[in-house]
Amino acid sequence: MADDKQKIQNEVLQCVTFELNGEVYALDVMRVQEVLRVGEISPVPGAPDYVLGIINLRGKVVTVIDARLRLGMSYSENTDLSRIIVLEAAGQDVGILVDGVAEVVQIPRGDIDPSPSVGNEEAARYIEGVASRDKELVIVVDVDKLLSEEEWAELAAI
Amino acid sequence: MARQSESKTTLLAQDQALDAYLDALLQVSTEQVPQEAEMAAPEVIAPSRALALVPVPKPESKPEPEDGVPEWAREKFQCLLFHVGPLKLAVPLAKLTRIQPWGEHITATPGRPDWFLGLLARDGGKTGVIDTARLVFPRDRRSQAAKSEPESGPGHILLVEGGRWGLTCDSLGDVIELQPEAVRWRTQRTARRWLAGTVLDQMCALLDVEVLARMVAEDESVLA
Repeated sequence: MADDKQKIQNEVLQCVTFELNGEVYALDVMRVQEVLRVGEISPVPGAPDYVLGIINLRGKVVTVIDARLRLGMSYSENTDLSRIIVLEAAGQDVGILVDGVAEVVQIPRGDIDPSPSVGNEEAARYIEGVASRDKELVIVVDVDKLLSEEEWAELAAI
Repeated sequence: MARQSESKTTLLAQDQALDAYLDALLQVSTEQVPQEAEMAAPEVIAPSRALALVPVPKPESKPEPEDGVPEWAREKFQCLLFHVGPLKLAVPLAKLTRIQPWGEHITATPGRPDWFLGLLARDGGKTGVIDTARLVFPRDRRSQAAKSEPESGPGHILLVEGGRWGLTCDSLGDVIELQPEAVRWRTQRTARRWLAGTVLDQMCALLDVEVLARMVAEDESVLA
C-alpha cells in the first residue's frame, strides 16, 4: 500500500499550462486534442451563460465554454493570445476558451497539494490542487469536474 | 500618563465604551437584517449565504475554555498590535509565525469566498491569504474599512498557524506585553468566535488565531 502511494507521488503528470485572469492553470495534456485560435463561434440560444456557442471542427460540432465565466471570473474581450483548448471530458469533446496557452510542463503528482479548504468547496471542486513551479503557483484543474454531471448532460444535448 | 490617573469608575465606563465601539464596528446593522430573520425557524442555507448571515455551529468544534482564557494566555504573554481599517487588533506572538511585507504575487484560486485572496508561495509550502477586513467586518461595514485601507493595499501579511494562513493588515503597531488580567476575556462566544477578548488599555480586539483558523477551514460563518 505504501509502495503504491509512493508510486503515485512519484508519477509525473504532463500538463498544458494556460492563463486565466493573470494566473497559470494546468490540465492533463492527455486530455487535450488540439489548441485552436479563436474563430467564429455560433451562439446557442438558451444555453447557460458560460457556453459561448458551438464551432465546427472538421465536420464535428464542439461546444465552447468560456473558462473565465465558468470559474466565476469577469468577462474579458478576446485577444490575439486567446485560444480554445479542445479536449475530451465526460465522454464528449468540448472547447474551453482561455486567455492564452503557454507550454507543456511536467508536474510530479507529489508536488500537487490540495488547495486549502475554505468557504464553499462546491464552487472550487474543479481544482485538483496547486503546485509550485519556478517560484510561481500553478493551479491544476480537474477537467471532469469543470461541470457537474447534469451540466455535462445539458452540454451534450446542445 | 493621563490614563494612569483615571479613576476606576472611568475604567468601567471605558469597558462599556469599548464593547460598544467593537459592536458598532463588527455587528451587522440591524437596519439591514430584519429582526424576524433572527426569530425565524431554522432553514437550510446554502454555504455561500451562510457565510454572510448566520453562524453555523459545528458539533465537532472544540469548545473554548469556560473562563474564555486560551492556553497561551494563562501567564504573561506578548502581542503584536496591527490595524485593519478602523479596527485595532492584537495577535499573540506565540501564534505568529512570520510577518511578510505585502507585494509578493498572490495566486487567486477561483470559487472561493471573497475574503480568501488566494495562495502565497513560500519556502516549503503555500499560505492561504485572508482579507482580514472582509473576514471580520460584516458586509455593511466594509466600506468603512475600505476607506481606511491604503491605496497600495495592505501593508503586511501576518502568517499564523505555522504559515498555513496569512492575515492581511494595513499597518503594524507595537509589541505589547500583557497579563491575563489586562484582557476582558469572552466567555460566551456565540458570535465572532475569533474574538478572544478585548484589551482594555489598548482599545483593541485580541484574536484567537486557532479558533479563527478553525472557522476558516471549517467553512463556518466568520462574519457573524
